[in-house]
Amino acid sequence: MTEAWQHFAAALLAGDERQAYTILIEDTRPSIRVYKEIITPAMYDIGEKWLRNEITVADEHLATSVCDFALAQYTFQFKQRNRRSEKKAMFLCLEDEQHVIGSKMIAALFEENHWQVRHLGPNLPLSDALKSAEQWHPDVIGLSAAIPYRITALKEYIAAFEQLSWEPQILVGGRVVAMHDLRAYCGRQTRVIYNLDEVSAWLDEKTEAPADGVR
Amino acid sequence: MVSGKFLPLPYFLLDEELGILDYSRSASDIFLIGDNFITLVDEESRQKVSQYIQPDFSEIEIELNMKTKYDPLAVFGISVKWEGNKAHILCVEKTKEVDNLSGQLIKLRSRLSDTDFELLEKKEELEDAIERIHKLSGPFIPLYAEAGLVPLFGDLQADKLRVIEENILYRIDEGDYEQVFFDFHAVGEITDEGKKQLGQLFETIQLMGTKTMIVGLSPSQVRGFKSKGTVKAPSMASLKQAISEYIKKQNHK
Ligand code: B12
Repeated sequence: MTEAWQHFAAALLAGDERQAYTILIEDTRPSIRVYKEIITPAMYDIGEKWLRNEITVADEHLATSVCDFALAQYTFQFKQRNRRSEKKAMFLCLEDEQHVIGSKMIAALFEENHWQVRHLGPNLPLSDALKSAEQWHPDVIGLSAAIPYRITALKEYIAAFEQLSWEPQILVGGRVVAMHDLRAYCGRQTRVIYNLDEVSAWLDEKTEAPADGVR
Repeated sequence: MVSGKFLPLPYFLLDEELGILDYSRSASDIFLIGDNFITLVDEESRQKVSQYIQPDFSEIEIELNMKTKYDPLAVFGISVKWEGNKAHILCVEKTKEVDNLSGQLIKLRSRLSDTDFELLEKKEELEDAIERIHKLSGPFIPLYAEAGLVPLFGDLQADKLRVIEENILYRIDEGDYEQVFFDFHAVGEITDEGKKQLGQLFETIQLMGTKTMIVGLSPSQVRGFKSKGTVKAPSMASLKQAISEYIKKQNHK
């Protein structure tokens, strides 16, 4: 049987954004499973196809931008600025990091769970990230890194955010966390997250905790 | 055999184990060259090297991420041609091309998210406007110190009533009212969910110790009003009558 993620990957490579979006929106699974069981495996498959010499980096680029587009449309239904919510979460990719699809899905999950969310995008220099944080005072700062060369930068980001006066919770995710043990760089406020289920468990925990001032 | 020393591109001559036998000047300009070609390749591209750079593929083109002196992850197009047990390898850097493409896509993406955001803003403006309209469809008007009037307007659906309810309950709680008149003269249709919601509203108000009086509900609207809250609320045909009765009673106190 062909799985939904295979159809999705095929639509991405065909550059068929309408089809890609239709596959997502017509799927009856809850969003977290759409992310976990369709989008994530499709993107890994694109990576595998490059390794098998079936596609080029250029194909990969086009496929990802179709994915990005379909994801943006799919998550639009959860977009709400949740202005009455007291919980704020900010997401970003480290400087030079372009692999942004993962953290976008995480941001959408937070939004769906009624957090105020800002995704500052890929490739965000630390100084800009700090400025945004100072202005907005998020309760959660989510960092994403895919390439191991970013580990030095990741340490700096974590250390800098841990200095912020209101002590935000820092979540670290992305491909590197599965490749390197980062816990040594993480203080009390920082938590490494390995997959979508952990994100969802973390969100549930926060929603249940009454001390948060959450309705 | 002609040497590749002066080829204007990075060139390598490899043995079967990918040991480097010879290379061009351009290759040493860009790469830190060791004994084996594999050390120039990013760890996560190496499986591709062992799979495709081997005599079974006598002529092949692949892409690899390679470690140059300037960039640990530069994208290269690699052309391979085997001559007996030796491979000729030509490397063409694609990083710039790829960066250009990705620049264009990034631009597209940010334009997209701008439109996204504008749409969202419009959506929220609309929602705000609807909420304001909902609120105006059931204003709370204090008549006397102990009596208030809620004239309802338009069709009544559950979501509209939820907005109205919030305001009314707040005002009643604040003002210590004894009686509230609900005037239905300007009401069109009431959905089933709306009827349920209204019943609950009346019940809540009654629980707060305030009487509810329904005015001007037409017989066709009454159908389906079976909830406790509605049944307990007396009704009258006209507002004028209802209010004058109320005043009479007050004067007799
Ligand atoms: C798509 C892709 C791209 C796209 C990215 C576009 C985009 N908008 O994201 C494009 C084409 C631009 C790209 C570019 C490059 N890429 Co690329 N790319 C990939 C690919 C195929 C898939 C990545 C992906 O989207 N995965 C799916 C997502 C959903 O998974 P994820 O990011 O891990 O996220 C999950 C979790 O980690 C978690 N998570 C992620 N972030 C966060 C954050 C928080 C707070 C939390 C809680 C959780 C969390 O949530 C997700 C849950 O499913 C991978 C292959 C692979 N195996 O990963 C290569 C890969 C990562 N890329 C690679 C490389 C080398 C590059 C380039 C350097 C060169 C090139 N090939 O073009 C450039 C450089 C980009 C840069 N400067 O960062 C290499 C990295 C090798 C290495 N040594 O690290 C890989 C492994 C391919 C390979 N085998 O060579 N790439």
